[in-house]
Amino acid sequence: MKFVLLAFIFSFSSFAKECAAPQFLHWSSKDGAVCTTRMSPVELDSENCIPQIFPQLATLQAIVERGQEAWWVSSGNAQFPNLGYPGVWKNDRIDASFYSGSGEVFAAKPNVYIQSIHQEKRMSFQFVGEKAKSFLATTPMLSERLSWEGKIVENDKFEIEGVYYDYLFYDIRLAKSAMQFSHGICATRSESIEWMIKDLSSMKFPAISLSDFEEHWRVKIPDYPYFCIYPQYNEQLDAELPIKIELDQASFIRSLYVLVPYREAPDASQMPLIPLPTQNPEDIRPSAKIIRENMFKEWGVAFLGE
Amino acid sequence: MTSHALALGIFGHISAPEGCAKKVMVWLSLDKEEYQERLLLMHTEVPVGGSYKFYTKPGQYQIRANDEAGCEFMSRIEVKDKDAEVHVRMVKK
Repeated sequence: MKFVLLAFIFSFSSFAKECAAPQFLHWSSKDGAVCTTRMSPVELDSENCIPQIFPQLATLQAIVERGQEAWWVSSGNAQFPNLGYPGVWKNDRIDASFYSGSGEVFAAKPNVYIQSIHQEKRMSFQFVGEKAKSFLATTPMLSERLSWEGKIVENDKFEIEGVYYDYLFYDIRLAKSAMQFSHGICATRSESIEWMIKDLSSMKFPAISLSDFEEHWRVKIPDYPYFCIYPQYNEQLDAELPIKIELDQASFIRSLYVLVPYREAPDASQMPLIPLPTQNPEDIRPSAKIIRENMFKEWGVAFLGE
Repeated sequence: MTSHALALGIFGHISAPEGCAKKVMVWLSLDKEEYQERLLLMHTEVPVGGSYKFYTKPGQYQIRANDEAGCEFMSRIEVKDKDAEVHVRMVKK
């Protein structure tokens, strides 16, 4: 009897971690990660229409219906027609023609947070490596050596040129060839956000970073019913965009979620351009078990561009 | 060895009078009068006194800023062959 039970547990565990083609991983808050060949269609509200080229008022309505109250949503919507998108959007992707640089993956808002035992500690955070960088935005501005030089202050903030920042921010374009598209999950929009927050929580991201993530991405992830998420962690990001942190006793956990939207339930038989994920992302997630004096943590969300 | 061959951009610092909030949302969009054409390219939240930079293609843009206290800023800028500086000076409405 024990053997049967163990065999069942083992087979279930294997099933949930790796799907045999043509199955892929579907995640839901009710069932967790399960293998499927096609997700079940979800019911959409009649107002929750899928955008065409640019988002219009339906996006605002969808945001309001979801109860998002970030202070900048109303002013942003009053000024721009595409606030509910991560950038200029066309054919289910970022319209790359509006942006400088190169790279098919638009990493929006990687935010870098710090958890430190120190009230005040000098540090430097530098983008290194020989490959040209295609930054799109930074806050604060980078120095000539592509770095932020300053201090960690009050345990969880940065001081750069005398100004306190809750986080360091950049947008950048990255090469698609440097990303992994085997590990991930597919889910509905709301469950995708839930899964990403759970993933960050499991890496012990600080509470303020989770709150910032939810506030920002509930607005900026386009209103598609489904997404497949391909998390990029240190293994992918350190190779593509290496960082040098000048500070003793420092660690750095990185997580960038590449999101591919779907208007219809993902279906393995449809042969999508980006293969549906078959491997459990937990297998490549960095461990947060080791505690250091200074722990840098970075989250971001990325979309493909055309 | 670090590459310094970065794109052109718009950069600046944030200042605000008393009564404005301590953080500002800075928006980069196409410079269009019509709402439907004024596409938002990027935005960033910046503390007052802090700095920002948007890396752009040459072209005509708007830098707008808002805060939670209702302060505002707007400037039109053309990026040609060098970085353009836009100091965001918030004004209470």
